Amino acid sequence: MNQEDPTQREGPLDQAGRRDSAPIHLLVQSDPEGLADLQARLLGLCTQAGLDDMAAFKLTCAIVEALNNCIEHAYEGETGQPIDLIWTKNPGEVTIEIRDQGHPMPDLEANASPMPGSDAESGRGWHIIREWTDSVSYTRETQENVLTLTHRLP
Amino acid sequence: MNLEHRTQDGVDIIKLPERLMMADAADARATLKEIIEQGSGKLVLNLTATSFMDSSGLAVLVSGLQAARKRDGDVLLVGMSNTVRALFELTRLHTVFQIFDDEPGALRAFG
Repeated sequence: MNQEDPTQREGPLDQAGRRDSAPIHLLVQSDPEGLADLQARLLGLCTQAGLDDMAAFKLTCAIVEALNNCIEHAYEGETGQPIDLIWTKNPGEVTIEIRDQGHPMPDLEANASPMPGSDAESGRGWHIIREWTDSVSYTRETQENVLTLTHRLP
Repeated sequence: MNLEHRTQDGVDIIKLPERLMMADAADARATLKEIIEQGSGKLVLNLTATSFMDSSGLAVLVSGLQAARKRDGDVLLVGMSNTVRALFELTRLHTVFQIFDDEPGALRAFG
């Protein structure tokens, strides 16, 4: 299961007078069942950020794929490990930072392979992440993987 | 995973759940495999209720398609939402599966 950090609060007004939310921390465990619960929450955040149904679906799907990678690759399927998802709505874009303490990821370029063949059962996740976000970056900070996705808002 | 399943004119018709994600993938794969092995290999998957799918869900469908075609069958998809269709188009799987608006159309295609 995941839980939201209760300290979240409204953020300041930006120059255009829009109020952005303070970052929302979603504490997730490396549990596929938990991701199923989280999916609806992510869809709601996308909608609240002003994305239409299609854009909300695409961004949610990209985030879920990134979380799938944490479970499958960083933690190699081990459940109960921490994943920290930080959702920040800035003027004109949303940033999603995903932190895990699993094995380091290969360099992002190593995941830039083309879409797998039509008969392949796997390998589509990274393609979805890249195509349905506006930027993807990865750093390794001490013992943490930090994957940052951004998506422009309408 | 309990998938709603019925047979009509020798075709197995299966209703997929609201979400098909990593958590559901192993069970869904096993259920489809069992239905394909016990039936004709002709499947219609109804996605009317499916509002979310990720690459794990796509992998389940590809696995089912491969198993069906090994039996000279096929997997036809019906009732796909615009959002799920976008996922199929991004991954080019809309060129691999035959997609129909509704079950009667898919059943006619099986002849």
